[in-house]
Amino acid sequence: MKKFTGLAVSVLFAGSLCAQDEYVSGTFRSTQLINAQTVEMCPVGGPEFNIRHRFGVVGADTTAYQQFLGLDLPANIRLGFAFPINERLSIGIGRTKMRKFVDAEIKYIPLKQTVDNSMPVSVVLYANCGVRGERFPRVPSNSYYGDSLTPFEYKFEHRFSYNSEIIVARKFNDKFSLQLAGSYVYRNLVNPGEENGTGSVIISGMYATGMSSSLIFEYAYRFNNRPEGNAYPLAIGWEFGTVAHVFQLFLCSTNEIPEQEVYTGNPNNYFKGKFAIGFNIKRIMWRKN
Amino acid sequence: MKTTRVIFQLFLCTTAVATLAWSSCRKDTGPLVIPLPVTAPVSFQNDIQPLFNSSCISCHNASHPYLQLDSCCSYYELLFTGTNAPYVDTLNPPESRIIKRMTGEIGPAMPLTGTLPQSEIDLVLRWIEEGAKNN
Repeated sequence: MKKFTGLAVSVLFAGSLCAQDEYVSGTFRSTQLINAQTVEMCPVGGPEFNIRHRFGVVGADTTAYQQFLGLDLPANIRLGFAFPINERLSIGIGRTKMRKFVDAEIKYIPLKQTVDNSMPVSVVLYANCGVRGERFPRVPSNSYYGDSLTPFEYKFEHRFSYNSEIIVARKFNDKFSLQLAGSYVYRNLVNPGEENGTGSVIISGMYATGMSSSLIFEYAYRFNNRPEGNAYPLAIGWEFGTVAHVFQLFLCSTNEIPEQEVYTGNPNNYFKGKFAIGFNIKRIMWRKN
Repeated sequence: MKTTRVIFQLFLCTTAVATLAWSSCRKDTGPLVIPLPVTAPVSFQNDIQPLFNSSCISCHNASHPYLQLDSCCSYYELLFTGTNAPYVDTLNPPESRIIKRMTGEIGPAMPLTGTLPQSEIDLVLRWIEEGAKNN
């Protein structure tokens, strides 16, 4: 326990120790890379408004054009705000359409990659807490908890789920950045046969193809609660940015948005040609000095 | 000033950790639906209509403006001719209007003289789940 406390304190104060160093900037263009959080922080200059949108899932068959690449199908969307507390800490809130899911997040960057390589990586701690706002479905009277003995009834706490991540990223050069994140999602209620906690590791990256555009990708391997057919969440896309905006357009294997769902649920099996189109838009609302 | 900032950061991180610790307050799985033992199918004439006779037809008789539950016509009223028919949804039985009226999910719970015991609501639900047959 003492070791853990010591580690936590050293991580918390590491930022002030490196205060004089020149930090690497623009590891990624946005605080979000498809579904994954990045090591980028909401700038102190203003709050950030972000939109994450996923169209319906289609197959690589006739449904693709019958449903116009999923645009005709029910979509999922999250509207969110992130507010900087200072250059190392930000908080945020958002709401997702599916499950009427409201989440609050906190993001802290204790270590930043330095230009002289004395700190080769940036490290971010991220946590969020989500609440399902939808009405619970009615369950038959012969429903039980996983022990098969206790009659089942929904409780308020069943609405909560949590995600905590540690993200390590490095900007290798002006074109290429890569990050690795360890994620632990805890859901207070899961389906029979699943575990409440889900551990996964997420690898994501960016390769700049021009001054303001880049290719982006994400892949999340899961240690438990594995998806059917081992179709782990995968996404690939393209992004371009301006001073205040970042747009990301991508193909992804799920139209879920909160990390609690993306990294625990059953994404659609891309080995069978299933995919969804999605986009993210980020807008920074610069404050007047 | 810097000390205040560090304390504030520490406070927020502590709050985040506390929230995560709170997450372990429930560790539930479910709902696990265990099939009921095989029983005789619910009969509309023998099981459901007597329930209407004892609890409903004092109001829902020929003079009721919306729904008549007398033995002469209750089945057709529920499925076809009642003002808000169909009152049963065999594709999604718990969402049936008759169930929602009995539980009070739509309007005041029926009958107004006192809610039916859960066993009787379950009986109607089972009748719908079995296809809402006129048997």
